[in-house]
Amino acid sequence: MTLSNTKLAWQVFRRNKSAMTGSLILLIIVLMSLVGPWFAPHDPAQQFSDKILTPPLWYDNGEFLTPLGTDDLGRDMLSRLLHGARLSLKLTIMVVFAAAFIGILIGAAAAFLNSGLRTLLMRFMDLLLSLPSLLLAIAIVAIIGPGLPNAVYAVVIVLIPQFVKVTQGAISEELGKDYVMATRLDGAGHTRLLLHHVWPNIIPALIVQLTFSFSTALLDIAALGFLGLGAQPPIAEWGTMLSEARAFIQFAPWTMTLPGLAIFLTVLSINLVGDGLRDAFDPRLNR
Amino acid sequence: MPSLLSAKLLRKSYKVSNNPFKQRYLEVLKGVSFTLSAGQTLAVVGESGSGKSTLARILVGAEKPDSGELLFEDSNILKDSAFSWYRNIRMIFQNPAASLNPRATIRQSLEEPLINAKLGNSQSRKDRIAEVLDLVGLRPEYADRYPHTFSGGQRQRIAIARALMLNPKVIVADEPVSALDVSVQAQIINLLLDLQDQLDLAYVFISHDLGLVQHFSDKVLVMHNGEQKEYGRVGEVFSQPQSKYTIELLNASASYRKVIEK
Repeated sequence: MTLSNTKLAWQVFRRNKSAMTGSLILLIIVLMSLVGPWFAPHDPAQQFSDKILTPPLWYDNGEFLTPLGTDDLGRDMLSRLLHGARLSLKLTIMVVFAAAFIGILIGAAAAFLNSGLRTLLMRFMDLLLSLPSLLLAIAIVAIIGPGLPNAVYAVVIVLIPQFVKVTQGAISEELGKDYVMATRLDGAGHTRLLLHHVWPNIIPALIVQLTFSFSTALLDIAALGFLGLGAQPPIAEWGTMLSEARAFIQFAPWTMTLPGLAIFLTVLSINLVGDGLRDAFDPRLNR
Repeated sequence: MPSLLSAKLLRKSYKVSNNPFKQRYLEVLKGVSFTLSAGQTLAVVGESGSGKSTLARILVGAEKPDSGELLFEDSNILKDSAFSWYRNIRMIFQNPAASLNPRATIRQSLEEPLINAKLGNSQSRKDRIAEVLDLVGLRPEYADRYPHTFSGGQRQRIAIARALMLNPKVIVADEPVSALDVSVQAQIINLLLDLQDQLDLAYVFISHDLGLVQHFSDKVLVMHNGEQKEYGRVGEVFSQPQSKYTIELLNASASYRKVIEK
């Protein structure tokens, strides 16, 4: 009976099969990215010139030392994928948290701005949102130049408007509710109202936005790598691996399938978790 | 009887168009006045959009009127800081499900006014919460539960408890029972009457239920489109209504009751 809303949301989430499957896959991927590099059989950049394009184990001529095969330069696919997982997840987390921090600050400020300034700011955010995120990221990279750090900055900038909108929308919605007025009449000041009372009520919306931003960020970083605007060879990054393998898809399909599968599974599991969280926090299903 | 709270010609209008060249205002209060003594109840009646709720918000300090005076114990509180204000005049909202923070326990919601008024330490606040919960007929151990675990009637009791935390002298209740089941309405009304006897509270009771008003209040203020149509003792207003609008309102209520009784 004394369940908090968070526990209630967890109960809904736990019963959601696809969300739990997504969480499991995501957990495995995260674990792999954390401990994987130590278990990686080879250095990701080491080239075995005698083993170029060795197929994975399940092919007849697969070799045990390179269980997932090698690429066109004889580098071990498994080692590259594991190192790529760590890089991708690390970058994604950095990008999303940087964007969330900036976006939430701007969004919270916007909720308290006067209506003219707010309209101006929010329409500017709409303008940024009206462009597909990847297109905008490409445009930004085109201005500041290719390379991994610049790609990271570009994706941060691309993700900010979402957070601004969600934060501003959620705070404005909360501010119109009776309990906010009641709390003001209890004598709570602006800061106390925002941090103690409104903030806990907008966290669910922000968590959901955070998860979907993870998948956008991961995909955009990989896409920039694929287009040659992000991570540059020989860095083991999933998008860059895809682009390097493009020429060999017909006779060495594993070089492209495996990084593609890694990106696909990660994005899918994040989205499943995000969907599950959204359902779990949805008050219409909950109470 | 000395007046505890009195309003003199309160006026309020809202801007309805944002066009800077064609500003239009909607007058929602066109000069409302009344006096209220300790332990008395003033009922404010009128249809939706008559300005009742705006009046309530002005009385508790959520909004400032454009002009007029609001005297509490003979001082004009419109000029006061908000501090003494929210402690003496407190509000009960119409819908308790919306007026309680869904992510705060009952204890956190009830403690809020005490913390902001810098009253007591954590132990004395705990005691006060238990005391007030008992006063509104709830068990003290309910304090650690969340609002969604309570029924509508219990939630309204919690909202009343929150209004009582600071020992106020006036409680403004904006249709406190209209969101509740009919069976629960009587319990809440009786609770409000008991509390009035025990604590010598003055109520400003906003309602559109004339039957309830007749049974509940000492004075009545009839409002229509922001205008004060009639103001006086309940007996006089109901037996000899002076304004045409009051007569219409009473007839509508009487014919409604006939339909219900058939």
